[in-house]
Amino acid sequence: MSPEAVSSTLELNEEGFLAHPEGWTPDVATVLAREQEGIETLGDKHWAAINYIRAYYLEKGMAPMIRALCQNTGLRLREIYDLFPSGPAKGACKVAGLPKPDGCV
Amino acid sequence: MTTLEAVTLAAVAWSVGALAWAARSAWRRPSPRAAAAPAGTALSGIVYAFGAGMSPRAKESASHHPLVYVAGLVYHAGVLSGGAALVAHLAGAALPASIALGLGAAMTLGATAGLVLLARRRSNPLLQAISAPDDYASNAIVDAWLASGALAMFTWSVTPFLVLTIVLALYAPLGKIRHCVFFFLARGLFGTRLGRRGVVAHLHGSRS
Amino acid sequence: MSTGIPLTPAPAPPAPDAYRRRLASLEPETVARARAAFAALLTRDHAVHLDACVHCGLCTTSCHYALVDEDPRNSPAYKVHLVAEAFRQESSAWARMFPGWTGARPVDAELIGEWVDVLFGRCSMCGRCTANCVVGIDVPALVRAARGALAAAGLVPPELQSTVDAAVNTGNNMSITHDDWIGTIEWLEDELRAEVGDDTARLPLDECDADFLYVLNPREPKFYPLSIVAAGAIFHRAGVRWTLARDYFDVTNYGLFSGSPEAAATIARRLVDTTRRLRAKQLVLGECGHGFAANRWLAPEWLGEEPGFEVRSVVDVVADLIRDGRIELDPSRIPNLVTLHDPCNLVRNGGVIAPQREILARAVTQWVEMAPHGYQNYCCGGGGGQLSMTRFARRRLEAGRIKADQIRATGARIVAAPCHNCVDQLSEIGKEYALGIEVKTMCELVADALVRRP
Ligand code: SF4
Ligand code: SF4
Repeated sequence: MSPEAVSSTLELNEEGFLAHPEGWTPDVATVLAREQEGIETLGDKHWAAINYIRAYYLEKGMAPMIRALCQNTGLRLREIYDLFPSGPAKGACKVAGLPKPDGCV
Repeated sequence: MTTLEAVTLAAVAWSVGALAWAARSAWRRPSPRAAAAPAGTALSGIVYAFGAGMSPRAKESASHHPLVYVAGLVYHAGVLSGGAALVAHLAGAALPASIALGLGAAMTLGATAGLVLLARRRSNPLLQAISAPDDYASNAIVDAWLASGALAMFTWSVTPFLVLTIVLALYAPLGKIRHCVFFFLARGLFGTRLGRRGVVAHLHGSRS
Repeated sequence: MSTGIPLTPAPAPPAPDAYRRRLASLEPETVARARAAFAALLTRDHAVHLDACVHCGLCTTSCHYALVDEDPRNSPAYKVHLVAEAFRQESSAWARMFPGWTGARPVDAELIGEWVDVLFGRCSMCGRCTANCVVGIDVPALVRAARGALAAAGLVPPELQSTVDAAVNTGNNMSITHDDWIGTIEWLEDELRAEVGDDTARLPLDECDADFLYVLNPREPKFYPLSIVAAGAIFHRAGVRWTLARDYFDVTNYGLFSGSPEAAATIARRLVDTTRRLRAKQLVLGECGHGFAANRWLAPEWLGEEPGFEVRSVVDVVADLIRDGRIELDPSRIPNLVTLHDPCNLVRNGGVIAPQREILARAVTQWVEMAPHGYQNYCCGGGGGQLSMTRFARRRLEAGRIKADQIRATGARIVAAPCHNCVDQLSEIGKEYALGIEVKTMCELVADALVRRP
């Protein structure tokens, strides 16, 4: 599917998170990043973060700790916030197709 | 003392007793056993709540709604005048004409303000949604009582005033007129919290 | 480069989830449980306030929900009304005899539906209405009582309930495991050392007899750990003896928002016990508005005892450290214009008003107040558990417009907010309303301003 086609079929909840996290694909990430986060192109570092978060979520059903994300991708702490301006929860996790985490986020 | 006066006194006694009982029932509900160490005194908050905190500049319910605020003041000034006139009459004190005219004027204005507030309640969609017949009746009874009081002051015919006093006194504890007691309790609790939490110390210049 | 094709918006109203379906066909036992819980929850203060409200509606123009949307249900007066109806039914034989006349109404399925929509979905329990009410009606306390009745019947919106459950069951509201917590703190200790350029800098865990136990918001170790590094840097520079706890580190208490006094007490109990276990002189609460209201003011009421130690906000502690000259700040490190957000539960409902202003006066080059501010501040819109309730997120963001307008009017580039919950909402409205702001906690700003050692 082209990004345009993906874009027109995505169902989001009231906060821009995927209504159906199981329907995530890398194309979906591209569209979410552009439309929700204003990230025009996802680079290698973006993908390293997204793939790790996605894999962790599929295994554990929740978002990883920021420490695990840094240690497993080699990204530095401050880098994450530059890569995803809305931060790890509402930026990276959203693009990786996770539902919104509990708590003050 | 006429029979009507005696009945009036009895009705007022019922009113005072029933209001006190209502306040006592509320006060006897459970209340937390322990409280946090205060950051300020309850007294400072109570002083604020009944002092500076009553100023129209201190709350938007007044500053955003000046006309309703003034109507409310005039209305309650009328009620106080009515109470004074009633006490004077029952005590058998003959009021000097100037004072009687003053009270009558205050009650006339009060009744008018009451009608303005009643009209507001009838026409505002929010107030319609939150008003029960009791809200309209409470207002109407007080308006009528004020009008009868004004009449008594201007014409010296007290019978309608006493009859309406009986109606008002009987009804007051049963509906929203209870706020005549609960206002003071609630305002006191509001002040207590503000004082204990150390908020009052910072209440100047918060508006800028 | 946008495709120009909009993302399909969520259908409004969203497809009924299990919770909505449950509300639509409530079991009689559930309703009975809510009704009984409501009667049991009403205290002296509730009763007094409910009989004192004169149904004047003058509070309407003080509530951010009502200011952005004139629907009568957004007015604080309407919220009080919904609780008062049930209260009359519960408290007065006269009102029960003439319900139509007095406006008495039993807690039934219909009223429960309204409570969910209005008391969960249209109120951030900020107390701005109370401050401006003719009488001083404690609207947040009344909203909490009704929410508590729903909590007893298991009818709290599931996104909020799951946050409470996570805290009760795992010890923190984000279900962070013990290993993840300890691992994160050890990892951050290295970050801290790099940050302050001192290999002796530490993030102490479980050290007894410290000056204070520091507790924080789980979103810090989970997603935003730079604020932990910031606090660590400040404490290190000041040379204070402080500690984190290995077990209970969570300053939040979402029991305050679900309205369940039992959950609130369970959560509050842990911090009291942990402070005692570690024999810390004070419990210092990280930047969290509702955590302050809960642990400083309400915990003794929930627990039925006074803690026996001082409970303070870290904002207050840091202001002291600056005033006493224990840390040195260079305001030129933060040249951009800063404004200050006042978290409702820390300021209007908490009484911590001056310290954050003292801090800004010393830590940044230039800062301006919002109008209004302090006691009269507007809620950011994220309080009352709104941030967790996705189903009401649209309303939350719309109500946040009042705060967004305030911020825009200051022209500030940085918004200082001594509350992580507010930080999140402010960041969201910053994006929603294109404010172009950076949102920071007080500790983050102070750490940025710390004079660097050669
Ligand atoms: S809460 Fe206060 S301002 Fe609002 S309707 Fe009641 S008395 Fe009036
Ligand atoms: S507490 Fe805040 S959000 Fe709730 S009704 Fe009052 S002003 Fe509105």
